Amino acid sequence: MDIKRDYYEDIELFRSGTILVWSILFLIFLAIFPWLIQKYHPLGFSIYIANLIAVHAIVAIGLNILVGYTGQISLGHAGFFAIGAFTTVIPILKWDFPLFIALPIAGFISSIFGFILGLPALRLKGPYLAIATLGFGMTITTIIKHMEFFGGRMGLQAPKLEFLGTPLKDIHFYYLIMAIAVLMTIGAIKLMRTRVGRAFIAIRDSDIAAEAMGVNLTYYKTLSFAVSAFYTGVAGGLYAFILGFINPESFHLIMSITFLAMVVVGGLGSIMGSITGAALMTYLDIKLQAIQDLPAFGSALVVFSQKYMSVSGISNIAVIVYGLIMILIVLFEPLGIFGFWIRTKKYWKTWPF
Amino acid sequence: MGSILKVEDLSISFGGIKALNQVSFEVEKGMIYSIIGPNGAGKTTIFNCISGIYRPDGGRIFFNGEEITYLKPYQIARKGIARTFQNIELFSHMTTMDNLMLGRHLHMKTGVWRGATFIYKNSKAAKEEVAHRRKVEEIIDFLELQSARNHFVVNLPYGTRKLVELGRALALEPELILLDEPSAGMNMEEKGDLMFSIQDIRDDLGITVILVEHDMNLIMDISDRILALNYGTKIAEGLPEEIQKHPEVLKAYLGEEEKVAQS
Repeated sequence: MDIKRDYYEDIELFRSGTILVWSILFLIFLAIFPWLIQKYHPLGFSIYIANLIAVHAIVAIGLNILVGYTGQISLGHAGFFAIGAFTTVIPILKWDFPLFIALPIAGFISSIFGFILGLPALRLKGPYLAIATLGFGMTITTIIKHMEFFGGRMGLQAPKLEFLGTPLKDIHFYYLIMAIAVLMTIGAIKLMRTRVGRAFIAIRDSDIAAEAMGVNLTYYKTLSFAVSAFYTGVAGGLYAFILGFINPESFHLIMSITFLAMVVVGGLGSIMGSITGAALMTYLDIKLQAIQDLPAFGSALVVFSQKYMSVSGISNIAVIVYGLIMILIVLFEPLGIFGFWIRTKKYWKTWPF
Repeated sequence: MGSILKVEDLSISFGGIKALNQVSFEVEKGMIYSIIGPNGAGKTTIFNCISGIYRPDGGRIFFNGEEITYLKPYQIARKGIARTFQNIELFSHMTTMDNLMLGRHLHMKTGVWRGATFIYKNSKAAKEEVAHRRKVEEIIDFLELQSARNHFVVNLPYGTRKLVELGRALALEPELILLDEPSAGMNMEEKGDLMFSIQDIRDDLGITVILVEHDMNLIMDISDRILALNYGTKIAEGLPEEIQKHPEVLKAYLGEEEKVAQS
């Protein structure tokens, strides 16, 4: 049992020594990851995956604030992602903004759109809200596609990043993304432990009671959308530089749904869950594309897909396996990976009882 | 002692049903005021009108001389009216502690930026959190909820949940508290404790209490004045002894005497 001596300990970032130690170990791991991985895998691709995971983790945290903590739903987060990506790249391309100014601006522009999308959320619930946000996501990409200012259908080439005149290498960009991801994670954890986070959770559990206790529903619901959109916008800005090229077509509906899947698979209402969910889904998505390289199954799968599906059916198999894993996780552990973690922890704590 | 709450000709109807029909009453500061009536008499509807969840069709509500009829629930909470709900509306996936801390919402200021970025023990957000935590601990002591402090509310027994809800309302530091059937689902012992708690709320904390209850013993013991409703209409108002003997009240609860005699 842990004994508390101070009220502050309840809102501290590291609530116990164990968490502190593991967090530090994790940070060290992130720091030496490029050096560790380059012995076994090509560095460029590994860093690309790691970057993608970090960016998706930021999105998942943002979306979890909205879905898991505030109890709203959004199928339009690819829209915020696109807004973030384009509003980061354009100021850098056209007006030579430095990244560390363009990125927060993109976040804020995105959160303004989040605020606007939050307005219908005051009246809509559940499936209706899902449809409204879905409409938003599709509209945004369509608008971007038809405006010459955003590069139109062709998309935009992300500029090479520079820092004080020297061009940024892949490895530097990796550290930049990790630093941003860690900071945003800490911010979310702290936010959820203080007044605003409590108001979000209160709205999720009982909006009538929350309002009767003095929580302004209008303000906090739209605020939740805005915060969520901020996270997604910043992630979108980073995403543009990971890909090096952005195209409105790539911010499609499936992307929004994948974000939602990350949150659900990771665990609703858990920051750590969002991160693991994002990591798992991103990693699977990339690894399953090479499913035919699997030692024993691989060739059998190829034969199967050629016999019963189209010749290039192996990508179908990848999607099927991806879906199957999602279904299994949600079926056996409704709280996602986070729920699994809680159970394991409980088991260890109470062992051998 | 002046009046803290004044309700004038409050009316509301849902479809064709008149849930409240021109109900007027006045509550004085420092009172325990009870509203009684058979099921569907409109007791909870009065609460919902006062706390802004329903918009009445007619009539006006004054709190400390200020009209609050069409304010939103959170604005009414800000004026100093807290309430509990008949079918417990707690934040079930929060701990007792967090539920009470949410009651402090109006008294705190931390916004998004400060909440997300505090680092030190001495930063404003952390200091505020700790200060209000102290206040919440006082309420926990007051209602003897220590054992439930760090438990999720879903896992608590019904009676305790009722107390947590009362605590959350108290955390708001209201001037007036509306308790909707606080003793429902409690056993005799818990009811006894609750009775003392309600009296302490009035005597020690100086909060005026309006009570909706079905337990007549509890009501008759602690109420200063009672309002009796039936079918949305006020049928009697007065001291407990008067209400107990009031023919209209007896009629509402027991049926008409002649009919009983006939059958």
